[in-house]
Amino acid sequence: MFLSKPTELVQGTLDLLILKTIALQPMHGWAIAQRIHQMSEEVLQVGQGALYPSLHKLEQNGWISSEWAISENNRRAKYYTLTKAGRKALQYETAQWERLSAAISLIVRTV
Amino acid sequence: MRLASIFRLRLRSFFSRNKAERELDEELRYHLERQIEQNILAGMGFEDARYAALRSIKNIEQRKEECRDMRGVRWMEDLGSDLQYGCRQFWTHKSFFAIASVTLAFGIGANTAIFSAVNSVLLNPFPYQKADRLAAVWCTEPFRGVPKMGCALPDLREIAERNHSFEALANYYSDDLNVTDGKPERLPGVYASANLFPLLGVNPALGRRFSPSEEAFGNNRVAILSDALWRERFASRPDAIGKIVHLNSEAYTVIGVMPADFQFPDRYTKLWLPMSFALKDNMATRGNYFIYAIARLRPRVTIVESRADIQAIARKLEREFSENAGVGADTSDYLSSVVGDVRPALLILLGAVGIVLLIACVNVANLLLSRASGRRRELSVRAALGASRERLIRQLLSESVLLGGAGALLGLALCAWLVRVIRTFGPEDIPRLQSIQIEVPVVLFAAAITLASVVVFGLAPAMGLARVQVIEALKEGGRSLTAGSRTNRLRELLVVAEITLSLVLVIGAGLLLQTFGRLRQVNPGFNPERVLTMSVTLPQTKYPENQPAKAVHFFDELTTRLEQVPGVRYAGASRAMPITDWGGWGKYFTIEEHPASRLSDVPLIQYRQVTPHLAKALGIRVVDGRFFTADDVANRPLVAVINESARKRFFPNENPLGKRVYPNPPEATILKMLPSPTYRFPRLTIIGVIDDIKQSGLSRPPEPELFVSYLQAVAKDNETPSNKMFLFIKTDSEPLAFANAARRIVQSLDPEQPVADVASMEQRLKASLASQRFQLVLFGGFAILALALAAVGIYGVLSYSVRLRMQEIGIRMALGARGFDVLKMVVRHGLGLGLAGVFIGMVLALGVTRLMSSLLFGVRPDDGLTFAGAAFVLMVIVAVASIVPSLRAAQTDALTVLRAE
Repeated sequence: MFLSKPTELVQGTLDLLILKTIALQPMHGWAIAQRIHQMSEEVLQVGQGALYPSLHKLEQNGWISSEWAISENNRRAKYYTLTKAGRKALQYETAQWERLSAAISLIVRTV
Repeated sequence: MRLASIFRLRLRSFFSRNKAERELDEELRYHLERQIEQNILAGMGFEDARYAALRSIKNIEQRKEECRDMRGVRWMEDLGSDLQYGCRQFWTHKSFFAIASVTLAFGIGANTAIFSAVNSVLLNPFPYQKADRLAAVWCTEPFRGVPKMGCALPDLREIAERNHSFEALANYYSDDLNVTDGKPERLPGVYASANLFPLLGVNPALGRRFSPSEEAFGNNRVAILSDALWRERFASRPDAIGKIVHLNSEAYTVIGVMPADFQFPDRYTKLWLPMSFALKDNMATRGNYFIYAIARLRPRVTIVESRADIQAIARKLEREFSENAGVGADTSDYLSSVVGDVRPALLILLGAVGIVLLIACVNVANLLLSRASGRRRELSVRAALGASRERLIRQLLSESVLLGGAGALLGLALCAWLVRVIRTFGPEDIPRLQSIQIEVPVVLFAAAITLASVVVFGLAPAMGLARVQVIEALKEGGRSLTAGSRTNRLRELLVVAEITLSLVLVIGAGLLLQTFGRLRQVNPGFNPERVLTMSVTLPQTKYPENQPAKAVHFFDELTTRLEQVPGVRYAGASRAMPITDWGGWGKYFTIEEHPASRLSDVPLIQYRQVTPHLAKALGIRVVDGRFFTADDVANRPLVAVINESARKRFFPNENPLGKRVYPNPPEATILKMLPSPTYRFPRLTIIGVIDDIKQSGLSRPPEPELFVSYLQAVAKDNETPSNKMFLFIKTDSEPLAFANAARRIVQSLDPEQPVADVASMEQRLKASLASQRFQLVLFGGFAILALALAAVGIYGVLSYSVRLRMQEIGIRMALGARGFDVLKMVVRHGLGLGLAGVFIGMVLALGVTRLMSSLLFGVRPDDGLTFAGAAFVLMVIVAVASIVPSLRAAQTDALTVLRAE
């Protein structure tokens, strides 16, 4: 599923994916997109149009922070890290998502 | 570095203004690079890889916009960047913006100044409580052509008792008093009933109000001072209360001082005294109409209802009292009674200056349009790169807002200066004009019209933008004939509108100019050159009514002594001042040979007591018979002189000389009021007819007048001599130089007697035209401004159309057209626009000038000469404005133009 705009998923779900992805280690935008693609078994493909707006929003909220560094191909890239507030948000958003998806599954699965 | 060559999109860095933008760029570029690398690694060829990567980005700018969107404070950043952009545009195109701001400033400044005048005269509340519930009450004699006069005190008492519309009614009349403490001075004062101040809802700042007991004659020697008088005569000392001031040689106790901003009924009144009449004072009887009233309406009662109420009361009084025959009453809201006369003129001026603002906005719109079409290329590129239409329009509008703001600030500065000018030079007879100043409502008005103007002229280039077709604009190279000339059509339309509006203003100014010219040519009926005038008011206390000889002797001596001054030719006195309508005294008029049978049929005439040399002093022509001489004294036959109007009205087919008349109703019609059944009024014999004097103003027709000799005022049963007389002193040289000498002579007769209203007759004539002059200057100024703006507008449009048609002109010249032909072509174009504007303008003016007819004198609103003259002036301006661009066009070098393509 190609995400060209941030709102193609339920609001905030992409944020959750990004937060989870960089919880493990700081990454730049391209790497985040690749990782999500990988970890979703190639179901989700995040385009620039969805990714960067979400990244900027998360940065604006103070959940992630950024810094410029030299990347693996010797070019400058912007790396994003999870902040303490971000970690707490990740926990909260994860719990919310699980409750939401469980509720939806209940309805969808009922005969 | 093939990757590097991809980034021709570096063009977008033109828009990256700050660090955040640059960083976003870099971030996105990095992503793009990696995507392309990945595509290549996946096996795509280089071009395909690049194409696929770019396609996945779709619209970069929009994505960036969305990032910025997500940042949430976008609107503020956008506003900031728009304003920054606007300021940069200002700076780089200084002259353009200077012209545009100044144009706007003229429009906004003039409008705000006139609105200040409208505000201070028509809108500002009076310094009284709930002034909108106040009504002015007066009496009328409609069948004798008197729309407004004072009432008689007994009538006002009846109205006060019988009405259902008023909570309270207060009476007042103005009179002058001589202050004799220190330097004798004549002060305007008002006698008022005790309930005046409670009715107005204003208390003295110091001391107390009148108490009702002070209306009783004998208790009435108290006075309330105005703040100005308190400062002048008592140095603002609080112990002024209780002090004595000598008015008309009587002692009055000061009991109060009014607040500084208080005025009633106008700003000249310095003193308020209780209205009080002695028991036998005949001024308080029916038949003496000189008292005005102000009333407070009951809640929810309208003026219309109150008018019907008091008119019904007046009709009842007519039936109950024979003296009231033909007398009615009327009322209006207080504000209208004070400013109603000048309201039309002020509103017309506001309309005219509004037209000027419209023309200024049209000019600025044209300027902006021509800029916008020059920038079409730039705007199209930006649109191609993703700038949304709304964003571009918003940027153009923000430029317009900045322009509007600059214009408004300059305009307010201009307005401040204009307000000062109006305050200093504004005519005296526009009430409340002197308090003109810039107040909150005025600033709000300026903001409102600025906003409106911005919308009007800001929309034009934004609209022009709507026609931008991106690809066409990029292809055009900016100089083709098609899309450019579409905007030019709009500009030409706007210029025609400008010419139309300017024509209307020029016609209006022309009509006012003619009015002023005609007024100045009016023959006043006398010779105003070298005549000094002043007024002398003898106090009743020293020159009482029952000793008329004292007043008569005073003025007789005075005029004799004045004539002995070297350089003085004649000195005369009259109760009335020509041109100003002061001192009017309406009395009934009866011709002994054919008296009227009913009181309501008895006509009125203006009664004038004059000394013998008045006619010589004022150079009034004696048409028939003779004027008075020093022999027309008390023990000689009583004589009278009438003016031409009286002769035409009352003696149309007969010779008036020798006829016997008297200034009272026929005895048979007022039998009940005569002192005895056989009483007869003294008869006057008409001995002369003089030329009409323009008594009420140069534009008003003269009224019938009856002149009597002042010296005969002591005769038995004759009307008592007036205590207030105007002196007219004919001199050999500059009249004002004699003022001091005259004052000294007055004081040699009575050291306590002040003089007032010192002015030359020529000054008075000029002052009587002050309103018309003021209107003419303002209107004329607007018309000239409009012409200048229209000229600039035409010049601009023609220059631009010449530029647009450069190619065509070059071709024509290459094909053999001479410079002169090109010049003719351009000028013809300009004249075509001019003719269109003039034609529409004349049609419009025919409808509009009708609104001005109350301001005109001696010229019709559709005066052909004025219309033709204005059209001519405008066509000349159009021709001149067309010449410069046409000269430039004529000088084009065909080769250069064609090659530059």
